[in-house]
Amino acid sequence: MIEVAEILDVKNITEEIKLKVSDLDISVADLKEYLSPTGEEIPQYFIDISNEEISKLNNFYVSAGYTILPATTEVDLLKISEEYFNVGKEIIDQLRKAEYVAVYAVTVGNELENELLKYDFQTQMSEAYIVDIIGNVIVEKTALYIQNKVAVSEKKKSLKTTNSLSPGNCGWDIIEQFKLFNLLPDNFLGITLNNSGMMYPSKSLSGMIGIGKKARFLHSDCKTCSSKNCVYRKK
Amino acid sequence: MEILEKIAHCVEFGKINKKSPYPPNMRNEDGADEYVKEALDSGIEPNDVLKEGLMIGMNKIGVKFRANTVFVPQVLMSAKSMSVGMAHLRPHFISGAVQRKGKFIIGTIKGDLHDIGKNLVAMMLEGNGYEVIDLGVDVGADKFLEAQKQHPGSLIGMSALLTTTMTNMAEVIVELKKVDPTQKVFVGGAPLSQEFCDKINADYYAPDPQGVIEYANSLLQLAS
Ligand code: B12
Repeated sequence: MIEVAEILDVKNITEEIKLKVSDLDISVADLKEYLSPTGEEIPQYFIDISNEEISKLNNFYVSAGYTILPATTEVDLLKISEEYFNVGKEIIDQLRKAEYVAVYAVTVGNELENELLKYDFQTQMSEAYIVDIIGNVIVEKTALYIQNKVAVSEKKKSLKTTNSLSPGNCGWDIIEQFKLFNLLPDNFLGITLNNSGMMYPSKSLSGMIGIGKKARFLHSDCKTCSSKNCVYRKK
Repeated sequence: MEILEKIAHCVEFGKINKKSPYPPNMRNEDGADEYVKEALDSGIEPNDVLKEGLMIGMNKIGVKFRANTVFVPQVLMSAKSMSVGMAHLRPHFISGAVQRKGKFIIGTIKGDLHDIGKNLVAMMLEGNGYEVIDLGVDVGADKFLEAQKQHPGSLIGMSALLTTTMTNMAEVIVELKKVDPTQKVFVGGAPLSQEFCDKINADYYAPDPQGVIEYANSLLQLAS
């Protein structure tokens, strides 16, 4: 029987990618969750501002990267490179069948983060808000890009991947960001953490994706989630 | 339409000034900027311009936002119209002719950076006549206590979007109430509920900014 380690041709690989925002193919449709969560018609004026800002932001770059490491579960803890993670019940259950994890982070970087702050909220509220939500969509789509990339490349090796799992989600305390970043190269993508484990630039996301022969992708179930006002909640 | 009504209408529909192209059906018409100036020039009391004009409009948009018929961008246009009108009232605030309803300290709880909701609540409070002291994100007990000391008698609001850090609110509430047992604390954010609010001994939970305003106003009525 071949071991997963052999299927994964390289162990402990780190990949860093720079992506142009235009590659993320952002459109007003991506902003709908924020602009009109219940599907009410968005006034043309806001569509126009959004289109104009998206086309300007399309020229910027974002950074993304991940590293793949062996992982095991010990009772209710996740163990990666001598580091133990208390990821909470929902997440540990999803990772029990994973033999590896892709630990990733994505960020808009300092240059784009500053661009996203170019409007003064006091005087140009709508513009500032629209640019801010485009920033959220940019970083969310960059994370999706990485999740997809990992899933596709693992699939070629006949391995399956789980959903993306992040500190701050379910019962996984945000303070474990420090341990997560310990698994990544120093100064990874230029992201820094403050005392509470918040990432800067603030438009950044981090997480892990389980990899294994029997790993399973679970669609998250909104019914069991307590975030009743969640803009992503499926009605 | 009477001028105060026109002011309220401009705020409700986000008509900032004559130049502003939004909303399209009010293009080339005067906005909050022009009408507030006109009202003050014609001798209407600044206090009436605020309470019978600007704030009425802001309240109407708050109600629509709660009912999900308008969204953040429209609310922002209203808030902008409001603030442009308020600029004309500034001298009257300084002279004491117009007074704010009270102070409201707000911040996103320690360990959390999500601030879109908190900013909205802050904006709506401002539009409804409160002075807002925004402590930003990742705010711990020390900063809340410091603000409470600096602004005694203020209402305090906390926002949380992370289920793992929303529990940090509990200890901040204990500390704040130790200093002032009558301190009113408001909590909110997507994962919160009335049940959680009761559990951590907060005074008020609302799923939307309008709820905050209504409760804050009711406290004022009790006090007076
Ligand atoms: C936008 C967003 C971001 C943005 C942040 C932008 C910002 N400046 O806030 C970005 C993309 C940067 C981000 C990052 C992260 N995020 Co985030 N994010 C969201 C998202 C999509 C929307 C939140 C939002 O703004 N909603 C809109 C506002 C208007 O709603 P609201 O805040 O609830 O406010 C309303 C009411 O609640 C109320 N209210 C709000 N505050 C108050 C206060 C008082 C006193 C009262 C009475 C009322 C009240 O009034 C508001 C208006 O109606 C949510 C998902 C979701 N659907 O909720 C995830 C979400 C909150 N994020 C999450 C996580 C985990 C993170 C990360 C920690 C993930 C990670 N490890 O990388 C990172 C941290 C980044 C960092 N720098 O450290 C999780 C939290 C999970 C959980 N169970 O707790 C969520 C739920 C997504 C998910 N399902 O995974 N995020």
